[in-house]
Amino acid sequence: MQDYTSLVTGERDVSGYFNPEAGEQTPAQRGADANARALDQITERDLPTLAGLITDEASRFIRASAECRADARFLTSNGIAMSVPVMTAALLGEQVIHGLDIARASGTHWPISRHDALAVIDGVMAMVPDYIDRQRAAGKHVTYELRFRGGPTYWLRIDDGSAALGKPGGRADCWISADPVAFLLVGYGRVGQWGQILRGKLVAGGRAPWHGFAFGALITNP
Amino acid sequence: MADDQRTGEHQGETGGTADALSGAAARTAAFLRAIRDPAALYPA
Repeated sequence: MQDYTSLVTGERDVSGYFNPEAGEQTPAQRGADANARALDQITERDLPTLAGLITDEASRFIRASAECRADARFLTSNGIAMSVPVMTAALLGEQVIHGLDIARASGTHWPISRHDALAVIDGVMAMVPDYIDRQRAAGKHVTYELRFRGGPTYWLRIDDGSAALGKPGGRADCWISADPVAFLLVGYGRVGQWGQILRGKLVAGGRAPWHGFAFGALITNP
Repeated sequence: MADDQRTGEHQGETGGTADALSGAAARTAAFLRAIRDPAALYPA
């Protein structure tokens, strides 16, 4: 959160985020590098102190981002230029997913609401084309219709290693009806897709429904 | 004026997610404060 706040306030030069010796990196790799650096820099381990930092930084980001123009884009640690809505959704995703990680580590429950899951998905969907696994998507030409239960529908076109979002319309090769929380957890690599498929939380159909099983593997974890 | 309008539209677009972020941060913080065994979070 601190990183995003310093980006929207202009306090930080993003070039410092990248490892010049790493060569061509994917957004997921850049993000992992940035996370590793952040973990090295943050030595605080006192939980009440960390709790205070989280709420303070969330407030700082929200205040700072409210001053930004709607068309402003900020180059972030994963190499993607993000708008404030996308950054806000990504930070919400970090909270709900890492909250789950902490809950699992401490043996407790961490419910994620459909509302929060849809808010995260709505923001980060814009980044999905950047997170396509280009090797796995090579040679594939598939249009997916992603139908989020209780939420919006998106179209994603995979074209030989690249991807683009489009407006829903026409016939997709494969539709996926997804429970938003299940989709979020699979997308962030917190649960496997098969358990969610067996529970009916991820269902694929259309003229080529088998592409639904491969969808998760086409996206690298953020 | 144009900037003000743009910012206003933007706040409307982002406001719901910002509220959700604020709520999630508060929830995470409360959760961290309630953890009785911090060592479990830092395995050796």
